[in-house]
Amino acid sequence: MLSMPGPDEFDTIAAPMERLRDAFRGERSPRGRKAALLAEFDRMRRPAPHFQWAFAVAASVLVLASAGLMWRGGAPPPETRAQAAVVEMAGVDGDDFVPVPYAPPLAAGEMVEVVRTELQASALYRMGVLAPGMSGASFDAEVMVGQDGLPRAVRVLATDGFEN
Amino acid sequence: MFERLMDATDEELFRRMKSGDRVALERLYERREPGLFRYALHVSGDRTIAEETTHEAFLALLQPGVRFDPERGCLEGYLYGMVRNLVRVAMRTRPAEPSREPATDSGVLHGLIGDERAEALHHAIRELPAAYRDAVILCDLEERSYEDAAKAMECPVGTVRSRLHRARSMLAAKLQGLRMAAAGEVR
Repeated sequence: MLSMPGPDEFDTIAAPMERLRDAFRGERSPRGRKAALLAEFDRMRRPAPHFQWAFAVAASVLVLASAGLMWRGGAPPPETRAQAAVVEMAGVDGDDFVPVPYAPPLAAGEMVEVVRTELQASALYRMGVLAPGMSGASFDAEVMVGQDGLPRAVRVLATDGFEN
Repeated sequence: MFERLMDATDEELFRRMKSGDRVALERLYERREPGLFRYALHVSGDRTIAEETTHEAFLALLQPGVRFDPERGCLEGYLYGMVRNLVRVAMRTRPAEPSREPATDSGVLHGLIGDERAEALHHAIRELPAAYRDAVILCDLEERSYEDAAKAMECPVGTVRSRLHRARSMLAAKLQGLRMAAAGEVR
């Protein structure tokens, strides 16, 4: 059985406890620790400049990628472009532009101009747009022209005077 | 501004600090850092560990994911718990001490204490089970009230009283044993 010390026995620790208390009184971390903590607080409160810069770059890349995807989405790949360019005049209602096959792609943000003109079937043919059985015919059309002056798409408006 | 927050509770200072109040952090640090540092110093006997763990505890408070919940306890208890765990981890990973002699165990604290019996007592305190050791450090060395110690230890006041009584008995027995052993060696 453990024998518990009586009240007098606690006196054996009273004096050294007092000395320990005095020895440690006033002890604390160096002032530099507080300064480091406050500096960390300040750093965490302001957004990191690296992050802002990275965010701007990421946003730019995202915008450019989106524009590229949108442009590519509007223009079918070359092999399907050639097929789509076969103008079945009987079905043309003049609503949609037909992409000119193998035309160079538009640069991101490049402006286009729509020019209304009278086209010969042979001109369409030179642009790679086939108009079967309509050689020698002429018709009103709108041509979408890039900033480099090259046609990108054509829309037939009317087939008056078309000779079948 | 600094004086305005003198009466704010720890929890209020913490809330203000989290919403960007730098002065609240300063106030909280000034209020709690010295006690936490001395507590870590008593437990570890190592000034570097005490500095590192106290600093780390405050840094943890700044983090967005800090898990302190005022509904579950007071900030002081949370801080002491954090320092206690950090010290335990630091002591587990530091190199083993070459000597376990009571008079030299305090090592870097030898110059600070400067008294053989006090050093022996300090060594005995550090060897107590954690719950008893904390009661002695907070009540006898830091002179905190039972109520304050209970908050820091996150236990009822009655538990603090009984642990302190038991801890003092253990320390007295330990020191008496050392004294008798020393007397036997002299004879």
